[in-house]
Amino acid sequence: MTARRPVILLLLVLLAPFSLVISLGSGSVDISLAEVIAGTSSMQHDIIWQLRWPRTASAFAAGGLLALAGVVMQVLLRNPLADPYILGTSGGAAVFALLAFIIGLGGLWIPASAFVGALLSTLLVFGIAHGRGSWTSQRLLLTGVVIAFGWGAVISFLLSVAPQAQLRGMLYWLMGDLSHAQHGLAGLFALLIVFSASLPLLRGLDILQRGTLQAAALGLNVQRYEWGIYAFAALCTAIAVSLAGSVGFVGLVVPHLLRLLMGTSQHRWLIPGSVLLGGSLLVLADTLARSLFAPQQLPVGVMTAALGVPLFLFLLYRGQQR
Amino acid sequence: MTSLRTEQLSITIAGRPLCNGLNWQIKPGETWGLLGVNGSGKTSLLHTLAGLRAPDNGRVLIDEQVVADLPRKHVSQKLSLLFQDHQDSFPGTVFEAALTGRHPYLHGWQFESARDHAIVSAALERVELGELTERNVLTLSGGERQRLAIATQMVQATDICLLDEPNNHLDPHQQVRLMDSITEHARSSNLALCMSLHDLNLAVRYCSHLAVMMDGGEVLTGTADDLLNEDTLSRLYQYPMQRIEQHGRVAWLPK
Repeated sequence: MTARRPVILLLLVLLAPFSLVISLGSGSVDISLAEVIAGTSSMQHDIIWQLRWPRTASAFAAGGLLALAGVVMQVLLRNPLADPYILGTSGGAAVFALLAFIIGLGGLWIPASAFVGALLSTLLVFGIAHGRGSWTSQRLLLTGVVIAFGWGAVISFLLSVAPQAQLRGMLYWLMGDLSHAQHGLAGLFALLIVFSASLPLLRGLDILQRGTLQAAALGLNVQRYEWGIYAFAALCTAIAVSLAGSVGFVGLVVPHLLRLLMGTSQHRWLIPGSVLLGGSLLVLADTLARSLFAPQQLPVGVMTAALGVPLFLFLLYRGQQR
Repeated sequence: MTSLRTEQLSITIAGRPLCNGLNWQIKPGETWGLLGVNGSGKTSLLHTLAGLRAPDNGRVLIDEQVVADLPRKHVSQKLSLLFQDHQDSFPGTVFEAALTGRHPYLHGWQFESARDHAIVSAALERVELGELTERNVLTLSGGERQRLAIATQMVQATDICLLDEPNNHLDPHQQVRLMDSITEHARSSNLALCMSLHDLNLAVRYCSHLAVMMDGGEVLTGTADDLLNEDTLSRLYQYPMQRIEQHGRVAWLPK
């Protein structure tokens, strides 16, 4: 069990560039692996670096950020069912993004509105749950779930009154849509920064998952730490949602996949593993989503679920037999 | 060595006083048993002693420093607390769980050293979990989980050890083996030990001192010899108690 962890992490380190190369090579013009790496003709160069790279890189960044936020959120709420969206972050983002669609804004306005919506929703949930000083994870969870329901109602309302022309774009955004990606490096850079910021938090997550009292008895300043990781997870989610729309499933399942694969509760393994697996999974899902029924594109959320559900169930089933 | 002291400590929950102006000191080498009926506030008192709950009045001191003013990390190097319930929401190995006991001694970026690992292995051996180091904590039985929690507390290596019902989930033979192990460890390391106990006769067998939480917020403290008498115990349980002696062992039973 213990010896397996480095091997799995190494495989994930290899999976990441592999998924990127596959993604850059596939599309309406097929480009071979050798050509992706060498980059021969100038037309191929443009296709890869101007058309595909921003989308591929954004997919990796969004997947990594969602998985990272998922791990942290599950520990914060001590709830295996928690995902980055459980506290209404994606709902707020969606309402603002859809409003931008309806007004007829495009381009950078969509991610920018989503980002603002995600942060506003986070502040709202935090403010209400915080109340007069103390908050428990239970109270935070309930507040978040109720606010998420509220956003859900607003989303349904917006969808029913939206002009026909915008409806398709809105629906795609809600299930995850990477076609708005314009800058590949920005997302990856954000991922690198938050990943580095998570490193001093690792052992704290190990003890917080055993409960707030136990963590306090082991010397963690629980309240300050919980605020910190809540803000951290919310920021990761806001960036991810503004890059890729509300892609479901990655943030919930990737952390569990890694717990099953690695058999560990130590976040020094789970966090890097989640970033790599979440990123790779979303890149592969997006590649399939845009090439499976080309020229028709599918929402990437459909593909994350199509890949993730059988994989997860298989591992869960195998884990039970052991 | 480190000792724990309370000054005029008062705890009230929902308008009901659990302890009133308690002045108490737990010194190194002493083994205290905390007795009280269900709901008398044993757990709240232990949490207050550990600084996890603010007292309504008075203060708790470790080495003459007020616990509430000390950084959590500093407290956790001096005082550990075994909880009654253990929350495991996620899978992970027994060894990793016990390793969390080293947290107080590491700073942000640091990971555990080979010495920390050796401490964990020794503690797991001590509670007879040496064979299960790679087991998933979610598959442990209640008794195994309890012994893991005790090992984690040993790994934390503090001079003051508070234990809330260490015998929860344990069979009689395990209770005795574990209490032997805990009290022997405490004696050899000259620890200040205080455990809440449901079983009066384990207190009789293992404790040098007793703190008895009476109805109404009065807490009697003293040596076991002074407090183990018919009057006190009958008052505590609101039921007549009698002393029975056989083969040099004393037991108290309801009449």
